[in-house]
Amino acid sequence: MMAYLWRRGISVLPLLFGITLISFLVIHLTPGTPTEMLTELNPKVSLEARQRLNEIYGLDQPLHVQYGRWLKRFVTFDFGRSMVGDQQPVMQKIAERMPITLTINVLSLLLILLIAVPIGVWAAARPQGVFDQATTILVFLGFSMPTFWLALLLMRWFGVQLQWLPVSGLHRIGYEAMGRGAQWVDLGRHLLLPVCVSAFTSLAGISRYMRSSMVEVLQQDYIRTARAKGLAEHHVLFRHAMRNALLPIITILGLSVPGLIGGSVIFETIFSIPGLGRLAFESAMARDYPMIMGFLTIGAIMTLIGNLLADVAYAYADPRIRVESQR
Amino acid sequence: MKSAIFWVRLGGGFLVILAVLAVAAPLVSTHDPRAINLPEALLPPSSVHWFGTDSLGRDVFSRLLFGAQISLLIGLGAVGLTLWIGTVLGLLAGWFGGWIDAVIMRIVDIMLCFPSLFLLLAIIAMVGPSLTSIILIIGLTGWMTVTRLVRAEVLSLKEREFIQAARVLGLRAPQIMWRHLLPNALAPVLVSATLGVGTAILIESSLSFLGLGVQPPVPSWGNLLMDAKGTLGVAWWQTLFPGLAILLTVLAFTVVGEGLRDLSRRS
Amino acid sequence: MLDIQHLTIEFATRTERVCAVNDVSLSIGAGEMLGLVGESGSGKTTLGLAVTRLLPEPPAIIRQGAVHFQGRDLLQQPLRTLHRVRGGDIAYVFQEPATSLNPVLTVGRQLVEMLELHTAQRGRAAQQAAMGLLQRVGIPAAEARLRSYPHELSGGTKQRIMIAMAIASQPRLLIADEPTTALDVTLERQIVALLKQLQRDFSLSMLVISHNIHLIRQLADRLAVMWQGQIVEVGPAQRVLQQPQHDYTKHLLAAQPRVAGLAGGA
Repeated sequence: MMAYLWRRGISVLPLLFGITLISFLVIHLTPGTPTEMLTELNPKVSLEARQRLNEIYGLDQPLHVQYGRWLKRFVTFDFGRSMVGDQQPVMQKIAERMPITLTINVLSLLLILLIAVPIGVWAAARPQGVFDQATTILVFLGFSMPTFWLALLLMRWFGVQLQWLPVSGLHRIGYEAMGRGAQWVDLGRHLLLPVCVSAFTSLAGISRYMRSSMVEVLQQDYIRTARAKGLAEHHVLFRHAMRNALLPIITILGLSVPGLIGGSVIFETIFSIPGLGRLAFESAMARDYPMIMGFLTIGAIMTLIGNLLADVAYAYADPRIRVESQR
Repeated sequence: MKSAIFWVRLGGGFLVILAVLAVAAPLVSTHDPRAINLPEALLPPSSVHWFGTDSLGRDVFSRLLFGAQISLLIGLGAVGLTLWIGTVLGLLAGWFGGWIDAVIMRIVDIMLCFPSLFLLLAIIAMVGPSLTSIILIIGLTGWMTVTRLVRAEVLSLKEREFIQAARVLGLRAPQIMWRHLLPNALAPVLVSATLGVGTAILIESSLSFLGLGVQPPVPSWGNLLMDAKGTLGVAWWQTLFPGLAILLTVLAFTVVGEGLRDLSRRS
Repeated sequence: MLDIQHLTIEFATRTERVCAVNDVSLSIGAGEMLGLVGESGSGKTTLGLAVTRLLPEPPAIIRQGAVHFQGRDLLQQPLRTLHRVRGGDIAYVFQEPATSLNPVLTVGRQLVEMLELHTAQRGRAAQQAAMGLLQRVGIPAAEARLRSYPHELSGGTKQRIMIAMAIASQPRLLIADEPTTALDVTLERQIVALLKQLQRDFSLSMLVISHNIHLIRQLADRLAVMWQGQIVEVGPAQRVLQQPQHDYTKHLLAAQPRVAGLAGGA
């Protein structure tokens, strides 16, 4: 297991390098220098001022020199300062927003597991049954649903018409004055819709994978052995089949991380949540190029870490990897 | 459950009708999609305005039809691009192996680390949103799946006898690729492409909804919903119809794609 | 002790209906070893699984017949009774030890599960009993083995564990479907010896299903030959082997490689 983890950890390095390269290229290879983006709308900015901006950002240097400097700063997570507003350091702004995005994503992963796994197990236990067919339809709808539309509909239904849930921000007015318990409840109410929207599309996919994983596991010999032992069917399903069927799901959950992070752009914008996704959106609108490089790189690193965690979890969960064979 | 063929026909039928309507939009639509008509703003569906009007008095139905043009164009264009890039890279990686394969697969791995919407936002911010840039960008960020698919097919086909025979006969690599490998790798690629159009349409509408996609006044289902956000409580028709259009269209592509997958698996 | 009467089983796929077991009647006495021989596709595995209704229905359809065991027709019993009979009175050993054990559970866990299901033993007592079982089937270092996962063990050890699981509840009947087919000849001999030992110690009845006549020769008291879903010949093992009546039996025996010096039982 240790050998496996070590190997896995090492393989991350070239990926990190590649991430920095792509982030850099995205910004610097596109037509127009980043400062042109800022200044082209402002004819009053003189040529010298533009040149000075270029110097400040080192944009007058050859590409590989710029990349070298970027790489050096990257190691200390120094992405420079935002070009917008109060010009805070990029990393600081990202660090402020990251916890909330992480929280929502983790919560939606948990929600997905809680819902998709039982759905998959049950659908596989009675293939072609009513439940299976119904879930297949829901899965297709889930794949095809534009998340922002779902968010709008939920907003309208729960927020405006029924007035059950708040539709914007994280806290209501007067949050500071509330007691601890009430604060948690309030946070929960604000997070409910975003987490549901975030989980929705992935839910469809994961329950489908769970189903096919279960179906495959149920055809295995050891399930026949379990039944031959006289185990009740629910024991066969949950004690024997599910544990095996969950293994590939761990990997798939890891693969769904970038989708979840990207999806946060949409629901954070709609629900006015001050998270990483909304930061990405705002900085894209404002052509704030240091911030763009920042969220691009950090987003990719978050995905990398997510995948790594999934791999570690898998290696731990599967005895065939965790325990080295001694034969 | 109905058979796979049934679903392929149903979904395919819907798509054909949609395509016809989209192409014939100038003929079929009831109003000029750009005609602003403030006195008739925010009217519910009626016999004159089948899907109602938006906040500038424009007819939603007509805008929807022209939006179909845009969505289909972008979807098909982007997928075309991913097919092109993905097939070439997949063929190269699978056939030549060695360091070419290693480099290409590494690039695939790296690209997959970026949350796609982040990458799209970043590039659009630099390049500016336009029809061509959107097609290019969605295409440039979506070729990885196709590459992996094609590579896997090539790897498995490479060892088969008819390919060995072709090599022995002295056929050169490009010929083998074109005439023997590609046709056999076609099925899963077709499935992926069909599903991919649905995904591309979802991506485009998300971008347009955020204001970073197709720019108004050009109608896109996504930016129709961007307009609708403001009138959420009052004009349900503005939110419902464009969203339904996206849902049904992507659903149709998904259903057809999965149906094709079932069919190809059986044979 | 086990009496199969006129059993007919069909498999229904989307396109056709196949008759796997055709009007089969067979019986096994107490303490008797019955060998069931046939080539692949003869229906012998289906028959073995059908005894406790282990066949997925659909696609299997039991058209007619009865399986009398301990005064009841197993095919008519509710699932709860069947669950008790399975593993408890009638136990199975399957062909592929590599895939017949759950890879994510320890061997000990799977053994203890069997004990907790069919005996009154729990916790510590069950662990002890499990170790005893492992020793019974000839596996050394029982305590360490309990903590092992299937992938850490050899094929022979895994098959012994399958047998240990099967006898954990002291069943009346052991159905072994191709128990040694996945093992090499040396292991086969060991397993055969083990099975015979266990049969003596526990007065087990056994149904040994195989295409390998050599194996059956070593184990069976009586022998039944199955072909295309039907029993074409049945009788005392010696008699059937030396004086086959049915053409197919003659054909089957003739097809076996002759090894000099090997005649009759082992």
